[in-house]
Amino acid sequence: MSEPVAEMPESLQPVAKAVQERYPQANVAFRTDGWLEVHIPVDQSPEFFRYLKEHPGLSFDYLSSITAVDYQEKGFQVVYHLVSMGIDAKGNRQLVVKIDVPRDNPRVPSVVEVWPTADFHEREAFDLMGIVFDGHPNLRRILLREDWVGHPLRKDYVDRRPPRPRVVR
Amino acid sequence: MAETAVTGTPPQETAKPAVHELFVNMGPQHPSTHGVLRVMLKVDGERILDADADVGYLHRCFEKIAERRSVTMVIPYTDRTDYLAAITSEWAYVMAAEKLLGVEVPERAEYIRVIVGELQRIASHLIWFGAFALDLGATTAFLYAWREREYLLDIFQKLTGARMLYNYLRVGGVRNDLYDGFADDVHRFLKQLEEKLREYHDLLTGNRIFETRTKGIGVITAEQAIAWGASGPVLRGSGVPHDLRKAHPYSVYDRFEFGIPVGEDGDVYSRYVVRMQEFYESMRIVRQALRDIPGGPWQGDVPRRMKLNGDVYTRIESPRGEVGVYLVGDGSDTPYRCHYRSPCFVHLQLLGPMGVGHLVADMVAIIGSIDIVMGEVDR
Amino acid sequence: MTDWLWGLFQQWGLGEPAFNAFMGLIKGVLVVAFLAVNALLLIYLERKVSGYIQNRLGPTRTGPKGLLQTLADAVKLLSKEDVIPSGADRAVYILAPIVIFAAATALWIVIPFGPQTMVQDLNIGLIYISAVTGLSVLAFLMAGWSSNNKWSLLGSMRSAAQLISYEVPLVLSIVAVGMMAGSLRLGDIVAAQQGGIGNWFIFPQILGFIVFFTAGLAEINRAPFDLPEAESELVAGFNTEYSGFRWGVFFVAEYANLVAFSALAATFFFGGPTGPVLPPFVWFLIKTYFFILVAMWIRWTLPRIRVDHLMNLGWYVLIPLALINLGWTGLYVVLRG
Repeated sequence: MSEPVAEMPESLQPVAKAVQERYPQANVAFRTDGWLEVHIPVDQSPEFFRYLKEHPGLSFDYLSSITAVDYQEKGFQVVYHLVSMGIDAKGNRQLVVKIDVPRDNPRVPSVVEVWPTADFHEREAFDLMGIVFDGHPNLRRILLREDWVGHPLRKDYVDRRPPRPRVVR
Repeated sequence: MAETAVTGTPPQETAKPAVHELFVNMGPQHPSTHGVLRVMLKVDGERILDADADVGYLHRCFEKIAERRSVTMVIPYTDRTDYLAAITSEWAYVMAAEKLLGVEVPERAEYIRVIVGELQRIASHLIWFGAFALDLGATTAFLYAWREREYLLDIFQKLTGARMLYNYLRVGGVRNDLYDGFADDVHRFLKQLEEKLREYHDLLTGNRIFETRTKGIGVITAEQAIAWGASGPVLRGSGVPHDLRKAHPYSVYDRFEFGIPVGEDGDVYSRYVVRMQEFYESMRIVRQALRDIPGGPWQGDVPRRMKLNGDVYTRIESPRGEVGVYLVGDGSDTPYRCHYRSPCFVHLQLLGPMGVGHLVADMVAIIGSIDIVMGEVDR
Repeated sequence: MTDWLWGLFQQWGLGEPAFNAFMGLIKGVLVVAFLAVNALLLIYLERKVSGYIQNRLGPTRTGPKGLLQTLADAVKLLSKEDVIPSGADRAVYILAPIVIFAAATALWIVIPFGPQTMVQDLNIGLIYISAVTGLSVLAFLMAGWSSNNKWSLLGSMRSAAQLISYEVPLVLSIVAVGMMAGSLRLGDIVAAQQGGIGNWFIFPQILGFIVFFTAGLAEINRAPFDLPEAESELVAGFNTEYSGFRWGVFFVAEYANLVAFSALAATFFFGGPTGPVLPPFVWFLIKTYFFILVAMWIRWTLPRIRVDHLMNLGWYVLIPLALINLGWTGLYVVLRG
């Protein structure tokens, strides 16, 4: 992990402050690569994101990506990359939100209501990593076949396809 | 309007005026879906009631493959995501790896990257121009664009040895230096392209048929574009002056002067205009970079055994939009997790908002205007 | 030649009906042969022309300068497996190419190759032409419906809609030609334009010609009006499911229609097979091929028009123009005396 450094750019300071005040249990840190990193518990998910998007001082209106990482025994981590484009056209506020979910019950609330673009991202994370996004209107496999077994990006994934029959000519 | 009364399902009794809904599969084998995209269309006659993209026909789970390869071995796979702009997808990945490793890239390498990256943008836009015109039924423009791209690919071949999938960028630099006479070749090409671009404009821009087919089609507003995660020319076509090269200048982009072309109406025509102007901006950048390029090494010092630690997300302005790579390392020399955020994948969600209410022929124009590459969508 | 044959028939004790039937057969064979040769040539020509427009060479390998390419393709098409989709309406599916070819050929009955050289100089020539040109849409509908393919269906519906919008201006512009000549007979129309360029109908009928040319391109589904088979939108439109010989018949009919349309344009507005020095047939070919080349030039330059714009063009632009032209023609004929 990138080491949190002391000096945070001015544009990000109010963000960190606002988030910290409203959500004291959120873990806010500044990363050297210019992103503000926030860890939040899973039960705050949809409200937290709506706050990020709709609070006038924050307005993270652009969702760059949603993805998930399998940290094996530590569980899954769902990672959201947010950018604010509305306030300043330069869009230089970048925020990464991480939510840890347990391995045996990987459920996260869906953010499709907040950013419509989350639709395909969440479907992809569901398809490849098996994260269930509660409240997603259309949570189907997107890249793999509908009858695929398992979620390939999990570290313990084994290909369960039956071996191809050997053809002897 | 021709109305068709054939449906797969029995007609439903409704009080509303009869809508004869017909379900049509546009693709995966359709001439203008740019590969194997399947758009599930619900049409009434030819008017689109609903459009939904079905992707995954080219999926090979590059992200899983990356977890089994060393850092450098992943680069060829990134080529094969966006095969029309291989350099930019390599770049996003390489940048992520460099940030995790803390590798310094020599200045000359950065300049070389900018030059090939912008040339790649030109090459990609040339294909887009041709394919877009072809989608609209203007066959000749396609071959014109192909001709110019061929000259450019010759330059790339001389530089990297490959025509489309270059495997040229390396962690910490580029594979080899520019060859002697590279600048002359590029200058000659740019001069030629400038003349030919005028020809393209004569052929399409201002043509009445072309304008009626593109203006007011597939409109998305700036708010919609941001909410749906659009990027690149699609976002700029809607009037948002957002370009990662300006907003978050990576590499040495902050040293060049160039503008961000912005469209007005967010329709197919605006996206066309934006891309056509980006030709000129890319040419400006390449010329400046060729003028200012410093000497020195083209490959920085990298640790012999690259141990990736931590996580990083890099975003790059590819010809199609924002390419993001989320790279996680666990201390070994293979990426623990490598996520590739593809702009086309995101843009495909817009088919519904853009296409509903238009005709099937407009759907073709819309797909052409967001410039999809299925290799990148499906990864 | 004809007299000699007539004598022969009388010797054999066969009456006039048998003679007429025999002559009809000979003429029919000649027309079909003419069409087939023209189609072969035109396909080659189209490839070459499009090649030169697009900075390519076109076919070069098969035969001298690639001249045999079309022949090779014809052999390929003929030797392909005859595929009929399992869900297709067999009878209609098989009939459709026959109908379109019949329609394309039937048009040639009245087209004058020379001042008096035509299969049959019908006294209702113009009406016959407008009737027969409308026949091809029937074939498109049959093909689209019977293929059991949604793209085909959309294509055939487009062609029906297109026909309705373009038949009207086309017929209106033809009516003006009939008024100018004072006859519906194509022989008379050619005769009325004899005696130099000044007598060509193009000068009083410039508006009519524009309407005729535009509507005609739409009528024969030529780009930029090739909507029924727009390959980038409808895969291949009404002939998506056709392959091999049947597809080839569609293809030949398309070119037969192109030749017929060009020949009609030449006949109606440019004096048809009349001209100095050269024999009439050569003039006929020169003028026809001029319009064919113009049509090719248009096809390889313009993007495809959209289906609703096509309707708008037909109803809001071409029909008013044709009506204005009709009024002007009436005035002209009266003033001319």
